[in-house]
Amino acid sequence: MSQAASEEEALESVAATTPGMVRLLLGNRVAVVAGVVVLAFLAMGLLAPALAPYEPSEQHAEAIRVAPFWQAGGGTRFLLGTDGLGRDLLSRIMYGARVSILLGVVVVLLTLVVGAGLGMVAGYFGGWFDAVMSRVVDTLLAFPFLIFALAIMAATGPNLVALVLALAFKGWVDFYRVARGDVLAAREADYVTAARGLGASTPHILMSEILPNILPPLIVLATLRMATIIIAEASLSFLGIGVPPRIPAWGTMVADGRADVASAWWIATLPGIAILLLVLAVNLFGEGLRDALDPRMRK
Amino acid sequence: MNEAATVLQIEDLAKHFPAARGRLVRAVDGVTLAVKRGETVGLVGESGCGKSTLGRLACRLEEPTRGRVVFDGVDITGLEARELRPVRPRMQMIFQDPFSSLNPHKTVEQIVGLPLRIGGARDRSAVRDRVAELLRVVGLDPGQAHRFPHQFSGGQRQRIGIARALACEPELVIADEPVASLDVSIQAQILEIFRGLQEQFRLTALFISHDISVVSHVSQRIAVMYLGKIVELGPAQAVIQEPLHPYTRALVAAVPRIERERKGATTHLSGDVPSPMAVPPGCRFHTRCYLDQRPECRSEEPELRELRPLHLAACHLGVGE
Repeated sequence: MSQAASEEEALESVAATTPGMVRLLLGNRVAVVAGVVVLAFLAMGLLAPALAPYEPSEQHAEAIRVAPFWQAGGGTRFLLGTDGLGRDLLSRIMYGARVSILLGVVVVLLTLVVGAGLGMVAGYFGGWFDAVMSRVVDTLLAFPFLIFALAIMAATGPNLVALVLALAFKGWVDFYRVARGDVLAAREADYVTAARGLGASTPHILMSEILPNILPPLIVLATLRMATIIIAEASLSFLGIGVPPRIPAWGTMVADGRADVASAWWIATLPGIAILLLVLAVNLFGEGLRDALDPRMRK
Repeated sequence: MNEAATVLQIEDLAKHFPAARGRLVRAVDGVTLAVKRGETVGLVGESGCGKSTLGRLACRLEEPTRGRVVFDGVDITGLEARELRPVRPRMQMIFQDPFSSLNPHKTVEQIVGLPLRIGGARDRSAVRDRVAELLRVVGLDPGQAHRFPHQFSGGQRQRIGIARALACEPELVIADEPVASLDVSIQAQILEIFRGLQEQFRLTALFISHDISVVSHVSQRIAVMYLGKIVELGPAQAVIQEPLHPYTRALVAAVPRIERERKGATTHLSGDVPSPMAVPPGCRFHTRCYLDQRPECRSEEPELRELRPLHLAACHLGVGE
């Protein structure tokens, strides 16, 4: 009994002294696997020039629609086969990770900072700023997102800056709403009153007292948004108005392969699987992160 | 009364909140009260009588509709946020809900050390030493300073809140129902700590509670509040033993006691507190008063009068004379 108690005490003190967040994240097997997959995609994209066996746009006229290695007709020269122009699919998928991840990260960070920042100010101060912002947000919510992005991209033609803006145009709204609502609740908490009563400055209250408490839902939202953005980018690219055609992107690859899906299924399917894997991994990692960010989950 | 000895002077303080359809909630409706250095004034009243609002007004966490708050000889009513900031650490609040009052994402050391860091302390080891000292004062193990609030019980969390309030050695502590959300056995512990602090630091405090027996344990003077106004004010002993206002008598009679001698009828209040949106004319207590009323009870608002030395009550009937 006393031994068990002292053991528990020892465990507790270990739990309290190690950086709880990292420990909890590492204890979550699903999150670890998901994190490894995300990191693998990231490494794949970053190291694509060194790792890819071919240039992504290099055409091999003698090897068109070669099957992946495990299929009849496949071989080790093109591990995942080639597309209708004789381009190496493995190389193109590796390069395609760059655009997906880059766009996802840039758009999500942009919308997170803008949306959460505006939302926190609106929620904390209220007043005319809140009234105006909330009407703007309501208006934006009435916009069908993909149709709007389609319109912008159709007008400007495929280019990366327009793509980022088209994807970010509405994306910040979700962050705004979550941040504003959570700040409304948090600012009434006694610990915020206590900080005010201690003479803390408004920036300190917002950044140091309130932000840590509203961050977990924002981070979960960010990972969900990341997945949405990756899919939206792939959709636009699939339609031929997303990423410029000279840059390999998964959405474009799926579009290129769809005519041959009966005879050469791998051309459209393999980049599709890449999208699925990355989106799934990002989502699962986000869930693990949410749990780890909550100190109540730490024992 | 010596001016320098008064730490907190509240004059005709009022707070009216706007409600639906242009109506006003008169949460605090003209309160005058002084807290002298080294004394604890207990503020009692039913929930909804405005005592918490009064506490928040007193340390300017709420803007008054009318009246003045003078802290240590300085009128702080009109001060802007920037001018108020250096004054704030000198008046500290202890909150009712020990779960809402501590930031769940901060360790105890960060929470108790926050006032020190806001006060400009940069030396981390000095902050840590001071936090350890404060934790010892409130009876907590300084070895637990790296833990998060959720790892503590309600009573322990309340101790953490007290330690935070004491960190800057405030001249005034406003304790807003500090024991109301605790178990009775834990209440006694927290009250004991409070009494220890009174002796050790000669604490000046406004102690707010709905429970007159809790207040009587820690206060030298007691103010009884009803529907936004003080109806009785006097030395703790006198208010408990010879209450002058019929409302105070009912509050005292409601305290459960072992070996109560039942002489005469026990005083029960019937009905609810009227809405602070529709304060009754005349004496605001007349709708629930059980004494034989005079006509002026319904028409004229009674002033606080010194019916006995240092013992004031707002009642036309002048009970006790």
